[in-house]
Amino acid sequence: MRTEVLVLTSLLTAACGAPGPRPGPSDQTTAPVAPAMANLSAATTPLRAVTIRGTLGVRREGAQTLEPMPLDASLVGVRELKADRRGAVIAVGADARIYLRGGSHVVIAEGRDGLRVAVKTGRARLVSGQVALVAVTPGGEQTGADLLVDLDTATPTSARPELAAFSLALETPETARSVGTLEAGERKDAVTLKRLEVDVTTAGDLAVTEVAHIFHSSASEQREGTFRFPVPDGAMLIGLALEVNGKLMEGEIVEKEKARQVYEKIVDEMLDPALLEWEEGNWFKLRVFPLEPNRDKRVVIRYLMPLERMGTDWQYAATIAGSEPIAELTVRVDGQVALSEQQVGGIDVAVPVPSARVPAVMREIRPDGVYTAVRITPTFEGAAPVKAGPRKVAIVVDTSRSSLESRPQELEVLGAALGTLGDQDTFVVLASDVATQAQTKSFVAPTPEAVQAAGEFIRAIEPDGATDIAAALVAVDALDPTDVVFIGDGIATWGERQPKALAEQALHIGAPISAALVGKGASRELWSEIAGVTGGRALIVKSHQDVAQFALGALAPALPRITGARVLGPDGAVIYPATAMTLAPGDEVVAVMKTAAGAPAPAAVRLVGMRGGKPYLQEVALTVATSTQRVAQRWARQELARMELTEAPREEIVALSTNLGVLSPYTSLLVLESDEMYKQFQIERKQQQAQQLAQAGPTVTGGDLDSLGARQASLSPDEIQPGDPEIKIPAPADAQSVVVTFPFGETKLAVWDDEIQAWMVRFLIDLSTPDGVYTVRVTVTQADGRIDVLQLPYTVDTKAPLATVTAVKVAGGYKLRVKQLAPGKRKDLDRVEVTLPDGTILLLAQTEWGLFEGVWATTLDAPVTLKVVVRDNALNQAIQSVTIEPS
Amino acid sequence: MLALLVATALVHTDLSEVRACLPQSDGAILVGTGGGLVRVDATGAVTQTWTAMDGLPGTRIDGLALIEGELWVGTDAGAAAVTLEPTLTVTRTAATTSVHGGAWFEGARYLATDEGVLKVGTAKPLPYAEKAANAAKRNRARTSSLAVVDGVLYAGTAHGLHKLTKGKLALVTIESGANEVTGLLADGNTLYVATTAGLFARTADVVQAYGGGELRALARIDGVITVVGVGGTQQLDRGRLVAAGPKATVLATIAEQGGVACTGGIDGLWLRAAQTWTAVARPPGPPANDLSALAVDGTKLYVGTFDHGLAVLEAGTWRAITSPRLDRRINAIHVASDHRVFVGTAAGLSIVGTDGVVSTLGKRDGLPARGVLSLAPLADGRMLVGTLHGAAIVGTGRPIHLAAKTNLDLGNVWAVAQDATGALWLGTTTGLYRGTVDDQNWTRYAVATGHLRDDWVMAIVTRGDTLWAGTYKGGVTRLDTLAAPTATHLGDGWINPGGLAFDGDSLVAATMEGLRTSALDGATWKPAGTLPSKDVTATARIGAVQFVATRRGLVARSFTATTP
Repeated sequence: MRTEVLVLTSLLTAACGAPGPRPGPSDQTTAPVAPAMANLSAATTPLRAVTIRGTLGVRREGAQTLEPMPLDASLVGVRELKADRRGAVIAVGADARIYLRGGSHVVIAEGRDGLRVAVKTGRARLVSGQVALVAVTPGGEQTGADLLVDLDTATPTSARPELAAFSLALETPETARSVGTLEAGERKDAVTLKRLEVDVTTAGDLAVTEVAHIFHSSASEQREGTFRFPVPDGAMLIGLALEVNGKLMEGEIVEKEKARQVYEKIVDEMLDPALLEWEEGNWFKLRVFPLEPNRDKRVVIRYLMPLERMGTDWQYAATIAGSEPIAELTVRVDGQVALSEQQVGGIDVAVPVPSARVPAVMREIRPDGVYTAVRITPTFEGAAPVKAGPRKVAIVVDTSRSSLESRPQELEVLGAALGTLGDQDTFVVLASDVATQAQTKSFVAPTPEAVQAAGEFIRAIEPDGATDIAAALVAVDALDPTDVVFIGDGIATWGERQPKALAEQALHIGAPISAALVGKGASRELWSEIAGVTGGRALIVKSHQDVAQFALGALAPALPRITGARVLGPDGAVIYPATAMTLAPGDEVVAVMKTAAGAPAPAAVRLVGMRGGKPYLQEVALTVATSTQRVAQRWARQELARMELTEAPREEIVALSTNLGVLSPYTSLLVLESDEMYKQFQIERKQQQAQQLAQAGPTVTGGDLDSLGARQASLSPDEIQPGDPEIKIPAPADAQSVVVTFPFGETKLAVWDDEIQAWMVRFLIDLSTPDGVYTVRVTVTQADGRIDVLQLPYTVDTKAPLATVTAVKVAGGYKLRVKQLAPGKRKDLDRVEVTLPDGTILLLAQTEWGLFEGVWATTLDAPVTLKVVVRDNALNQAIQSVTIEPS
Repeated sequence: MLALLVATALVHTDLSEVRACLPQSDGAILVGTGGGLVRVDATGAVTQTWTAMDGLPGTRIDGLALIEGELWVGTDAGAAAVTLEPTLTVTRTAATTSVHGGAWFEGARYLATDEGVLKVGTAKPLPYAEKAANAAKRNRARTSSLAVVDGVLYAGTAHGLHKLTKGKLALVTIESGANEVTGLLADGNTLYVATTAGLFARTADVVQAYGGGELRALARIDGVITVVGVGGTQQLDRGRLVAAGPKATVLATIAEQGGVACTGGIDGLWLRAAQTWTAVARPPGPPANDLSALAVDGTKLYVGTFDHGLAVLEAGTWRAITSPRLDRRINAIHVASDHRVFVGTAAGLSIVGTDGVVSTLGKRDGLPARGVLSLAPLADGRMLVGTLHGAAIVGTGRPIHLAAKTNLDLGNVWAVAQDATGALWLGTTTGLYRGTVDDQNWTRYAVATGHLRDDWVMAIVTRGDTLWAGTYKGGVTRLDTLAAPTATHLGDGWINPGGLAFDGDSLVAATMEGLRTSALDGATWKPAGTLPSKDVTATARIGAVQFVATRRGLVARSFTATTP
């Protein structure tokens, strides 16, 4: 850490040195910057915090430490800014902004040509204004109108607008995130959220997040409650469990009508089922009955969300914020406690995930098929620079009958899009229904008057008629624009309606077409294809934040792009994304495909498209795949979307939804109070079985590796001093080989152990091995030649545990408490003994995470010092003492 | 006063695991193995072997690199430039734990080391252009190979391909997922990159992927790019990798010079001449280098290995003892007076009868746990057995669990012994326990009672009314007057399981940091000279010959007395 600070300091020193030629922008992505404020100085740089969601710490020139900074206070002379827990927005001068994500820490320094900003931790967004903000990274300096910056990289925000979501959220009112509420009838205060336990398990590049809410009812009588939960953007709800009679019952995905019939029948019998239903937006609601007086109730929601890229590394990132402070919050990632705090108002959690756990090729083999996901990073090395210049933007607004309810949102998107145009740009607005009419005969400058007139033009049109997108494309083509924006629900209801034909027509325009898809029935299916082949982007817009994100990316400065990008799999593979894509530097495609069970696993996929007017081809081998859970579910989600769009038979949609555990419009999550009731209503316990499989510890199973998943393999003990741990791999007995590669250069062959019914290998950790987390790679060559790769982490720990020891007088003696130090870290303390004056040993009991307690029954006349022996999971020991004064 | 000096030291190592190879201009091949550096002739016959006993930094060879005429040998205990004629001479060393490859670049030698890319003659590896998290830092330091293409030095690391730019190593993207580079080969203006996710070719920033699975090394053999890894050998043929050459579980290295090529891995060595690959017969020696236990029966030395089974050395000849009922993971050996051999393994207690028939006791047969960690004979002829979950006495009937009456949870019992009074001693991870054969009155001695420096007891030996307990990291403690013991801490540390033994009137400690000896009444430990590895696991004596088992092989030493 010290080294990193020194490097940053030297970067800044260099940046603030004598004036000289400033490194130019690394590519053509840099947009013009307003003239820089000259001669900035520590005394005059006008910084001001305009939003602080958590706390903002600042270090001023000459100070050694960070001090808290209130909202709106002037931040003159500041050298460092650190947003703790949640994000913050800092205004620089009149119009420049620094957005800090929660947990981010930046160093700033003035220069002749602007304010230099280097990120030490986390991520920041720099929006230049009258003061230019210069991003300093190890790769050099970069200036841009709007940049996303982390430790390693600075990227134009327009290239990766989705990564700017944190900054957009800082400009909208605070809402609950990842935390549900439970209301008990009229009295909202009768139920409180006592504890929130977030358990995250990584599965390839996904995080399976399980949020357990422990509510407490202080009501004096039995009540009924309604639980509401906001599923995070981009997350996929996959499970629900509810505590019934002290036992956690796993919900099952059931055909919607059947679920409702069962629910109503049981309600009539005064029993307590629960049915999870979509309420609105990302919110789901669940009726909970009964809430027993003065008792706890546990509600568990489970969802999938992608891990986040951070430079070349990965992290689990989430915002956890409730409508009320959370009394106790614990976050675990892959079994390690990442956070354990009390009275948390809200917090941005970012936990690094070792790259070794995020494989490029992930595979899940099920009886119904082989599911493969592959991450593909397109390359732009050698791509021709893209010329930037004034833009002629055609904006098509859907004014058909279907736009009736979404008109306000259409106007919001229109305003936001026009707001991104520069002085040199021009635009024309077209209204589209069965016919298309332009507001102006030619392109006009984006003056305030012209922008206002454009809005009034759309407002004045009565929503009516169908949507003829082909006609709109013809009208746009005639204008010869450089960029096109479509605003509407995206569904063609008149004229040509086939996506392929419309895409070909759009391609003829020769300009990138982006689409903001608004309204209840908004569909991306058609516009993903059109945007993909032309080099634009399509986004479903539901919120103000989505509007801002669309505006950031839709009219992006000229970037190198791969247009019409598609991933092609082997014959017979059903592969997603199925539509064309536009790819920019930094993008990564995750293709997921299903191939037939029993057929040879796919060997390669190809990413094809056009880059700089030339065909682009990238072949990616799939030979080495890592067994990973949830691949089938991520495929099923996209397959279900396709089936809905193509109006596939309802029973087929229901079958896929229930088989793979992915909700669809025709299925619901239903919790019944006992296994018997599931039997009674003939509901198969698929979710429960899947969950048991996913949670199974290192047990002896003897099953097939593919169906069990990588997490069944175990390394024991996995927290160790140098020694000789064993690895157990439940690969099939007929595997050709199980090769285990250790990080210190050793390769061993695991041997089949008939009694354990698993492949076993043990290895030696050398005495010289430094403390840290290491990963073992297991390569299983299956009987059919297929290769699966597993990663197993282990921790070498030779440090003695640290703990605080206290003694408190209680009735009849003294209560001894030994608490592990370093809160928020993994659980370390394992055993605590206290040597009493008479030589007997008092073994303390673990009462909660990292806390050991015991009572010494005695009376004291004089002070006494007790020896306390503490031991950790790796059997490291330390001797401490505690002196007790007579009370 | 006389001192004993090592007069002869005969090293027995397993040379079958090939980790590096390098054909020589004279047609011989240097082979880096898990048991030393070996020279073989064109037929594969071993003509010479060098280990740490001969001056190499370590016995396990991790890499061989011939850089501008200088031979660098990377070992598990450091790296050195050496000359082999007339005897092995270290000409210089490098500040690294090991070397895997090297390159000549801009008039200097560069080494691919575990700490990064090291310019020979400098103390610190080259810096990196990018910052990285700790795990990534550790991985990118693990450098497998170097190559120079178009005047640029490339380094293959476990965290991706890097190239030297302005004095710093900068990450070069190959393809998502191709994070661990295992080998590099310069071929004109093309850089071939072997990774754990397949083969890539990089020409002027254009990257071509060829697949090929988990690869470990590559070379140009007979003009064709050839890769090895899990599953064997493949050749690049018309833009595709196709199986060709030795098919093996894992091949770790491949090299060619002057028409002679070699490859090898955990399955052994292959040599190629006249366009034909030939497997080389396994050289004689122990089944593995990682030795875990020794026991003597007359002139026979029983040698247990960490995970390669049991063998016996007699009159210089090795013989493996195998049976489906004898697990290969051996923890302890004891030869009974009737010559039956008791073997404690990870899968039970096996007894090798004098007729060679093996019987095994497991948990189903009444042992407290399947894994047997320690053995000691009782005075009445029965066997005291420490397991992964408690201890038992094994006699003719069903095993008797110890501490069962007091419901004492012993956990791992790493060491067992019976003292002169008949009391039983059990060494566990929570200290020493003293009890009786009738399973009464177990008493604990531990850190909390002031008797030990570390509760993880790995070895126990007793003589008279005295007991020595060796612990994991707290050294050796002597307990006197065992009925009411007083403790004397004798120091040293990191005692290996079963790592205490008497050798005449000396106490011998097998530790992770070497072999130590001490007088029984003293507290001064003396190191016991150069061995194939610092990590010593067991000792035994047959007549005048002391056998020392290490993690890198066995050494048989005889001594001569001299006046210091």
